[in-house]
Amino acid sequence: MTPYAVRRAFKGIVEHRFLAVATIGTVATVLILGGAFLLVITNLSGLLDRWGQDVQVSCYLREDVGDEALFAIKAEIEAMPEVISVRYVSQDEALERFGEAVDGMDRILADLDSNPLPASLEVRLRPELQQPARVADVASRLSRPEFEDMDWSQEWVERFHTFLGLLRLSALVLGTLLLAAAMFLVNTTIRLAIHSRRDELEIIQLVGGTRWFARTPFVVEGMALGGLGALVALAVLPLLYKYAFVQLQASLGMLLSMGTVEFLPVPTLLGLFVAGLAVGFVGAFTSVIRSNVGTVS
Amino acid sequence: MIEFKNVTKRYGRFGTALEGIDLTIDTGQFVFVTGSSGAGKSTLLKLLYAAEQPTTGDVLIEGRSVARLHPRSVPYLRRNLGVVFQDFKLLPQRTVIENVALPLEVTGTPRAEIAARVTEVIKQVGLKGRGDRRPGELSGGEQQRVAIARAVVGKPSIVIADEPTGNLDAALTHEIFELLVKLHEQDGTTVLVATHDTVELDHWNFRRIALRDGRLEPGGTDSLPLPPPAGAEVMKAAAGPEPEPEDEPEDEDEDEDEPDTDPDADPGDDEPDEAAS
Repeated sequence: MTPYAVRRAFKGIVEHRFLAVATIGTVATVLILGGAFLLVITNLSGLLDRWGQDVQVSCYLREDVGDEALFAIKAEIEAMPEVISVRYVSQDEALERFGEAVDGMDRILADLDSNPLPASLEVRLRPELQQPARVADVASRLSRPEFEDMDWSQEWVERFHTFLGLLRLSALVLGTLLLAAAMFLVNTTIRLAIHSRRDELEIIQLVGGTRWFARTPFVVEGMALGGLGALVALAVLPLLYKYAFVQLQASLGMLLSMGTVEFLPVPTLLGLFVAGLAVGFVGAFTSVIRSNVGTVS
Repeated sequence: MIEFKNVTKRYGRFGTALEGIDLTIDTGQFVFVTGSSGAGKSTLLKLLYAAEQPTTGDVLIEGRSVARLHPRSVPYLRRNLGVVFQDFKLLPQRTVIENVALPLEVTGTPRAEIAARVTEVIKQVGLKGRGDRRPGELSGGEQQRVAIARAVVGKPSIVIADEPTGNLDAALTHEIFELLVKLHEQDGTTVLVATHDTVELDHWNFRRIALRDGRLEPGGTDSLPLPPPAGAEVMKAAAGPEPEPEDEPEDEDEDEDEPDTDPDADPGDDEPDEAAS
């Protein structure tokens, strides 16, 4: 990249400032949308991670299981590498918890003659096991004849994973389409710039300019448009985070018990900037190749 | 040395622009390429800077074939050639300095060196003080001076001018020819000028290559004995008074720069050299 190419590229942007602003705006919009999607996905993934840390399997004990057998099973399960801890919940404790969880329930329960709830072992699994298939796999290995029933929050974990997977996929598809559209616009902008500088390109050839001497300013121009679009997006995203996401969290946070909504990490922001540059580079590069810029005539 | 070896150039099946051209131009010569419109002058020059390829035959510069040059090598050939066109081919959005600097920009010359060289050449062509103007703010003659400055700024060994005065009136035409001759004499550059301006052709005593319908014509000096110096003196005397009046207004810079080279006196002084080459 010669100083001439850089000077010529920025001069080109000034010469076509309206088109340049439109292109920068489009790249910025695409990256803001992409960034917003990433904000949602990052935070939902974070949420899933936090929930995932609580992957727990409840093993409900038959009534006839004696203390000795119970301790043996508890020790066995505790020794499994996937397990963090095993806690025994007695029938009384289960009843107490149930009463606390539902308002007014304790009075109803007090009227009961006997405790209908079984005692259980609550097995906490390692967070790496949060994928539904692996939880199911571990659960099957936990299974013992002494257990009347087993329960793990399989259904919602699965649903949440499916939802997040769909969200990621749609972000990927939409992101690719939007990036392609931005690339196409850069390509068109550069093609118009090439067209308007036909005479200049002819003269460059006549005075001995090589192909890449003629082409580089256009490629630099495309990268500058993409890079500037990315900078605009990086300036807008924190505002969007502050005024939209944090506000949204304030009203929904309690409901979802999400904790704080986090802004995009620095590597992701760098990634967005690189994506802007790449869109500009590819758009401009394909344009100079297709327009045959600098080919000797 | 430039050599055309049995060069033929055809466009399509029937359009013959050049036919069987055999020609040698020695290094440091000033040569006119003459002929009416469509005679093949421009095609002959285009073959030199590889804007066209011969249909058959070969064109050699310093023994190297231009016709067989790989397209990627063409820019390097052109860096050693300066080309001047009838329509100037200047960049209207750029200043005189930027236009003249372009051939040095393409070679990656350092900026300080570009600035020094451009200033020198602009002064040489008599445009001192006009470096920041754009072509649209200059007269036709001045624009062609800018084009000539651009052609010589890279110190090429060959300068090619294709009807450089076709858009200019007689007074400006003579100025441009004087400038080309001056640059030729200063640097020993080989100069080829395509023209059909008979007044100028009569004024200057240089080798002429005459073309008619794409063939070399006997009317050129190539087929005639070169005129003796005495004859040239007569020519000079005859042509002398003609260009004088229109020179004064725009030539101040030039005269300042080169007090000892009176353009009108030069061709006569140079005759023996030209005759020898």
